[in-house]
Amino acid sequence: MKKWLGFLLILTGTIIIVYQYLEWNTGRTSAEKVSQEEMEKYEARKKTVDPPPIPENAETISLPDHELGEKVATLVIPRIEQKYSVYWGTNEEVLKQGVGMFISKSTTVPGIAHTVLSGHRDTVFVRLGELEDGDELIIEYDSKIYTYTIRKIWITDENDRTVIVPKDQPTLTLTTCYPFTYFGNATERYIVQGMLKSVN
Amino acid sequence: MEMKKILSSAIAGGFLLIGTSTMAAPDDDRDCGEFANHGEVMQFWYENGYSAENDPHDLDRDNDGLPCEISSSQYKDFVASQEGNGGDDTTETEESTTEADETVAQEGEELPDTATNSASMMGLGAVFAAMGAYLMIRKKDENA
Repeated sequence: MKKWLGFLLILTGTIIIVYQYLEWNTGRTSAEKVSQEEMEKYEARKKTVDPPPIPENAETISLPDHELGEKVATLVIPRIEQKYSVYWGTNEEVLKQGVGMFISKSTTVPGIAHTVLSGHRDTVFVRLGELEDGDELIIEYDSKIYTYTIRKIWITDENDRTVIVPKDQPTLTLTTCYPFTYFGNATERYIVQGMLKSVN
Repeated sequence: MEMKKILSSAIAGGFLLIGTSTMAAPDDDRDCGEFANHGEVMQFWYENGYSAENDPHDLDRDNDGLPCEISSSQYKDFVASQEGNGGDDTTETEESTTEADETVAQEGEELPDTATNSASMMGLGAVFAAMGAYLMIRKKDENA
C-alpha cells in the first residue's frame, strides 16, 4: 500500500516538474544570444541613419490586423547580447511564449507613439536589470529597424496606471515583474523606457 | 504514525507553496455591494462599455445587459443624461473602454502580470517526489 502511494507521489511529482519545466522553457527559449554576425547586421544598418521621423498623426492609425500570439517583431538588446521574439498581445497565454506587444488604444506598433513590450521576469526578461540609461533597444518590425535609446528606468507598483498611457513621441517601454526572483508574488514592476533615435 | 505526520505536513507545505504563488489573482474585481449607490454602478458600467457579453466583473448575473439591480428604464434615463453632457465626454469614455477596469477615464492601462509560478510548481513537484521516495525507501526497510 505504502509502496504504491510512494510510487504515485514520485510519478505525480515528476509529471509536475516536467510539465512546468517545458512551459518555462518555451518562454525562455524565445530569448536567444545574438551572434556576432547578426550584431554586425544591426550595427551596419544603424550607420545609415535616417533622422527620426516626424510622428504621424497617431489618432488616425489603427492597430494592424495581427493575430493574437502571432510573432510580429524581434527585440534586440545589444548590452546583454540578447534577442527576443515578440508576439502580438500580452495575455497569459501569449506571455508564456515570450515577449508580448501590448494591444490597447493607448499603445501602437513601433515608430508611431507608445509601444509597450512585456515579458516574464523569470523567462525572457531575467536580465533586464543589467540595462542602463543610454543603452540601445532595437526592434525589427515590418522589415524596418527601430532604434531606441533608454532614457529612464524605474520601479513601480503593480497597480500603477500611469505607465501605459498615450504618448506624443515614439516611445518604447519594456515592463516586467520585480523583484527579479523565481519565487513568490510580484507586487512591483520594473520599467525601462526609451525614445526613438533612428529608423532604417 | 510518525511518518503520517511527516507526510501530512509535507503535503500542507506543498499546498502552502501553491497558495503563495497563486495569490497574485486579480484583486480589483468589483461586486455590486462595493458601489455606494445605483448611480455609481451605472457610471462604472457605462464608462467601461460593458454589456451582457462583456462583463468581466460578473455584475450582470441575469445577463439582461444591466448591472446589479438596475432596471431597464433607470439605465435608459442614465444613458440619456450621460449623452446629454456634450461631445467631450463621449470621446473620453471611448478611450477608457479598452481593457481597463478603472472608473477614472484618464488613467492608463493595467501593467501585465509578468511572473510565472513555474519555479514554485517545480518545487512542489520535487516535494511530492521526495515524499514518494521516502515512502518507498521506508517500505524497503520494513521488509528487510
